[in-house]
Amino acid sequence: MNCKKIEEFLSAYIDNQLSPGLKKDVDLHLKGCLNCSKRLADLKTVVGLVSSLEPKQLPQYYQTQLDAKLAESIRQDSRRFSLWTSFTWQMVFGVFFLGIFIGSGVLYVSQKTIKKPNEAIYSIRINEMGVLTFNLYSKENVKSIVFNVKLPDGISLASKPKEKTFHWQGELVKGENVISLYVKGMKPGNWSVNAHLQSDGTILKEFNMPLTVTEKKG
Amino acid sequence: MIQETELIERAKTGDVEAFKDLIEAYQVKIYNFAYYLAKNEQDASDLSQEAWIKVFKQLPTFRLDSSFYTWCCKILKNLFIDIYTRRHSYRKELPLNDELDTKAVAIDSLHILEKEQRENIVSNAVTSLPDEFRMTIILTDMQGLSYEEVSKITKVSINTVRSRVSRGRERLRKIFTNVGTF
Repeated sequence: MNCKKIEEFLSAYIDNQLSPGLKKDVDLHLKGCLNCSKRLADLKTVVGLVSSLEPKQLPQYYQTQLDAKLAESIRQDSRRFSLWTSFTWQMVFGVFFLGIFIGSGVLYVSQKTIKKPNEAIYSIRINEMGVLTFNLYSKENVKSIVFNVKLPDGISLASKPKEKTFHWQGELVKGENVISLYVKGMKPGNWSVNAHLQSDGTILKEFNMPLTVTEKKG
Repeated sequence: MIQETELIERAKTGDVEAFKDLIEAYQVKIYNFAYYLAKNEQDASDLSQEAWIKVFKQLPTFRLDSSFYTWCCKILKNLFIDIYTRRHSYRKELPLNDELDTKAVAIDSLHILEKEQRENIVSNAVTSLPDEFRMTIILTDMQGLSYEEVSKITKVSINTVRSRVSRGRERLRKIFTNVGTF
């Protein structure tokens, strides 16, 4: 077998992919051919260099972004999963879904779902729990974000009924961020959940979310 | 220690925590596969994260007839072909004869370079390979998969895998070999 033919088999030879007969032919050729032996040694070096490359490390915000994308995918699929312990930057007390978009440091609330000023968008019954999911879309990574929520008399945090305020401190990653809050209806009435988002002491946005607590049926 | 098959079965029923355990087991490998396909960190993050979302959605269809990791690689590869080669712009592939960021160095002298310098040279050389060779080299030499597994992922015959491995390594050998001696 000539060198040109042998060269075609050298990689398979390294990987033990040759039939016994063919391996024997290559072995025989290598014993008497310095060029092919050198080429084999070079190929083994190539394999060694590539296989010993240090794996690239995950980028800093990778896990947070993936968690957010997974949560959003699940929410869109309307499947029931246990998300409570998922995210290190989420406290798990929930109310309702409200889309909040941040662009260039400006925070605005979509007006499409608000019919009249002070008209409640959402309602829950007394002793009923609900999930408030805040979707925060950021154009860039933002460090040191503080999200404060103040609950009115008629609403409480689901797991801590005596708590009326909720503070979350963390970072926003570029793209979508999700904060979920579970709350419980305590007293009937039209209430308003107050919240604000601040960074480095500067309040980026304040908003009020109308919320109605109704009596239990029957 | 929970077996992988048990995690997969739980994840199939919608157990997100079980799925996250699966992600944790393979996310670095999947990210690295994506990195060397997409050739930059941002695209690699997007590609690999989209792949995980797709894995989660398609999990009910996974029949354990291949390894979970092989199946994830197949999904990522298909995403790469569907999305990144057709829509997204990514760093232009350099033909073999074009000047690369790295100078050709004698293959024997690579080992005397500082580790970081050597890794950059090798990494750049791999990313300079044409798609089909690069994908095969990543899966065989970087990720340690067999020709059979690579054949399942790339949907080509084992003979084609063998040929791509051979040609990919030969290209790398030429990159590393000093070409300025004649």
